[in-house]
Amino acid sequence: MKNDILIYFDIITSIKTVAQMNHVSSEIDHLVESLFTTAPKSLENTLNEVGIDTATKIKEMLKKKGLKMEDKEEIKNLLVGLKELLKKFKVIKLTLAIDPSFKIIENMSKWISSNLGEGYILNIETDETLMGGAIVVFNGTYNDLTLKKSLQIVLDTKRKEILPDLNT
Amino acid sequence: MDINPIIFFDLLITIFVLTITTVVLIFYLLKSTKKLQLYRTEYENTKTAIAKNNLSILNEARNKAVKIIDDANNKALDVVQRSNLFINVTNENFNKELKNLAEKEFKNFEKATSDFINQYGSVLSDLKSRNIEIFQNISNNIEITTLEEIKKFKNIIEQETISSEKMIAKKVDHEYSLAKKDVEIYKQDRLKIIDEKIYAILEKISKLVIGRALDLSDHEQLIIQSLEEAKKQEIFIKDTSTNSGS
Repeated sequence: MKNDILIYFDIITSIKTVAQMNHVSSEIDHLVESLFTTAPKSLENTLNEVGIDTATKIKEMLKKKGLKMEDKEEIKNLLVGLKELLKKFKVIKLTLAIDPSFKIIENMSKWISSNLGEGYILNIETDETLMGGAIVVFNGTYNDLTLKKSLQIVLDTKRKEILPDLNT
Repeated sequence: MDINPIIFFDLLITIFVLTITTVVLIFYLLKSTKKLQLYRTEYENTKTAIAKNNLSILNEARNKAVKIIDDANNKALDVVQRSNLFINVTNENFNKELKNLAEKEFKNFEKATSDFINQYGSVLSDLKSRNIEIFQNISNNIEITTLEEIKKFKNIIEQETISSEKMIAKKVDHEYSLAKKDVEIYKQDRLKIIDEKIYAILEKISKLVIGRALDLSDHEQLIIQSLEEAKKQEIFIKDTSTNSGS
């Protein structure tokens, strides 16, 4: 099992978000389907139909496992195993004020890897009214750490300081 | 063509008869015309005679009428003259009598007038002296009574004024305090509304300013800070199942 995880390591670590995971999962389904079709179609051709990044990583996987394109059953088991592993990801839901760039997603993933370890992916939603920061939801716990919330707290607690006493 | 002699003779006879008839008719016509001429002449003569007769009758009637009118005028003149004479005489007598009567009556009137004037003068002077006395008494009484009434009225007015002033002052104070309370309540309500509105505006402006002032790297920094804060709050430690957090 540990060896399998090592085999899957590259592909697992390349997935940062739920959207990417769903995409890879659907590509795996397509590959598995194509393995046992009646039409004569090689795995090589099918790999050309999926994303180049996914195709490269799957080829690497097969190479590490020492499998050939003809070893359909083993390849199928490998792909199914990968899909099962994908289901085990822990999802951190983040609601952000911006639609993050690839670089920001990368940096967030790096932080997660450094601080929490592997096996976490991000489910990102956008809400411009938040102004900045994030709402973090994980394992049923909700935490509003946005600028909007901070501003609200400041305005509520420091109301009398901010607004002069109009009675005077 | 041979004409029958009988017929020829018949024709001749017929023509002859017709000729005779025509001559007789012409003769008769001439005679009638003469008669007619005679009648016409006679008519003209008769007409002329009648006209002349009428004219003479008219002239006679006119003359008679003129005569009658003249007679009537003369008689009327005579009557007028007589009546004028009678009027003049009557006027003279009437004027004389009237003058005498007027003089007589005037004398009587003068006498009566002077007597009346004398009597009236004496009565008037009596009245005058008596009235003066009465008026003096009345005016003294009026003066005394009026002064007393004025004094009483003045006192009443003073008392009423003082009590009214107190009542009004009390009422004004009460109304003032009520109005003051209402104003204060209104003021507080308005201040509250203003307060909230300012607060809402302030919140909006802050959001706008902060939203526009941040660039991508600032956002990234804030997101990482949020994750660190979440970690500090031990959110990620509560990890009991897979695929959680969605």
